[in-house]
Amino acid sequence: MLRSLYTAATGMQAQQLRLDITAHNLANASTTGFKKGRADFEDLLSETIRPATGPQAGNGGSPTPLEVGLGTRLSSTTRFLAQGDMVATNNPLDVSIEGNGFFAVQRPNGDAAFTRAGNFRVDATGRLVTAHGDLVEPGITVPQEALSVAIKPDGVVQAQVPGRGEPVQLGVLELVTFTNPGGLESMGNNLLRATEASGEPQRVRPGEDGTGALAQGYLEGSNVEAATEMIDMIVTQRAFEMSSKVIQTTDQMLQKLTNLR
Amino acid sequence: MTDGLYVGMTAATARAQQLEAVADNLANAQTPGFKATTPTFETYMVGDGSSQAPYVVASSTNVDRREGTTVISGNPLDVVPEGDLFLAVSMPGGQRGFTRAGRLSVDASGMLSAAGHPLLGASGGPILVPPGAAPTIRENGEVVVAGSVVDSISLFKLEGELQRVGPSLLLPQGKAVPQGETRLRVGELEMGNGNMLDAAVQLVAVQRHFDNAIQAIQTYRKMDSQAVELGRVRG
Repeated sequence: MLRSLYTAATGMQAQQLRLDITAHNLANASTTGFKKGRADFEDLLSETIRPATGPQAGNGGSPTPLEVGLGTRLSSTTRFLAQGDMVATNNPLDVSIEGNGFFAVQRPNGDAAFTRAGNFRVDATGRLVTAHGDLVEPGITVPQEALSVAIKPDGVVQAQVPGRGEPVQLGVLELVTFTNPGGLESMGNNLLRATEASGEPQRVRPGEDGTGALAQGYLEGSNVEAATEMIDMIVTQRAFEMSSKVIQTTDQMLQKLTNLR
Repeated sequence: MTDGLYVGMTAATARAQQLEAVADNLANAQTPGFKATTPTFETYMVGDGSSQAPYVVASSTNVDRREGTTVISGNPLDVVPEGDLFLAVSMPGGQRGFTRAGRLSVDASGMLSAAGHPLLGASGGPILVPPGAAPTIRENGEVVVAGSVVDSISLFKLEGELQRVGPSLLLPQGKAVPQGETRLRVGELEMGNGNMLDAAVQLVAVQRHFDNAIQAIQTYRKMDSQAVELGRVRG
């Protein structure tokens, strides 16, 4: 009798967590390079009340066991890597990746991090950095006198400097890929960290080995779709309500039971 | 004491077991590949004929094979097997388990898994992709990396009743028959097949039947106490 109380409670808890994820997705609907998360549910192991038995003398046995499931839980959150909308900004240092891959950056403390947000800037010494001041890997320094910077689809970065007809090559922007990009861990500030589950980063030239080409002057928007999130919210709320109904029903039955005496 | 009191008790217990199943089915409405269960009940009579009271007991659990609602997820590694067929995975201990939870994932070593266990390919072994590669799945089950086929997913038909053995994992009572042709819907996920309407109706029915059983118990109690009253010597 009491099992249904706890089973329904697992349902309510899971729905609550799912709503937290939906709220985070919606809050980041206009975050550059944001990849939405999805709550993954799994059922909890069933309790076997009576195992299946073969036929016995004078009794056909029971071909299927008697078991009852104990509810649900969130097993993981999957990062959705679908492409976000491309937004034209015409800023020469805004770069987006048209396809798979991540930009590699170096945090001030030397740690490696990865991002899809290509809203780059130039710091006081001319180095290419992210909006948070993290160095873009491999390091590229834009000379102070540069008139314009061009980032080619294959990652080559060139600058036009006064007094020279030919553009000067500053370096090559590389991308990294992972065996399991879903296993990357969020660090906040649009940054992701490699984990044991994601595998080691593999350096690749943009456009090669299944990675996307770069597009200068564009930013990748968030891949959150408001309509999908709204529908998720309705489903979450109704599922929560149904589980709470089960708790009410169980409670009323328990009440009848206690009134027996 | 009359047998009726105990018949009422088994009836109330049976309804409570039914409610547990409803709670589980509702809690798993969004679990991919989840199959709803219903306990089946049977009449139990004492074998030696000393009592004619028909007790009710839950005898087994029936797993509903109906397909759940399919939602479009857009994730290239989400698949739904077409028809009443299942993906095969390797459970700890080497046993084969079956699932319709087509939420595939790749781990750091490049192994494809479903429902948390290694997914089995056409050769019967786990499906491995080269490290760093992003695999895609074709509708005929082929696992493709950078344009070349590395392995393919095979589907199985499960014979006989199903038994739940773990999160979204099932085992057939009969044989698991491999299918020659694989047809998958890619970018979709099948959710739990627990039906909200069924559950809502069952909630009401369970509660009312439970109330009736309790009413019966109370009536028998009253009869018993009146019998005791009759036998009391007045003084």
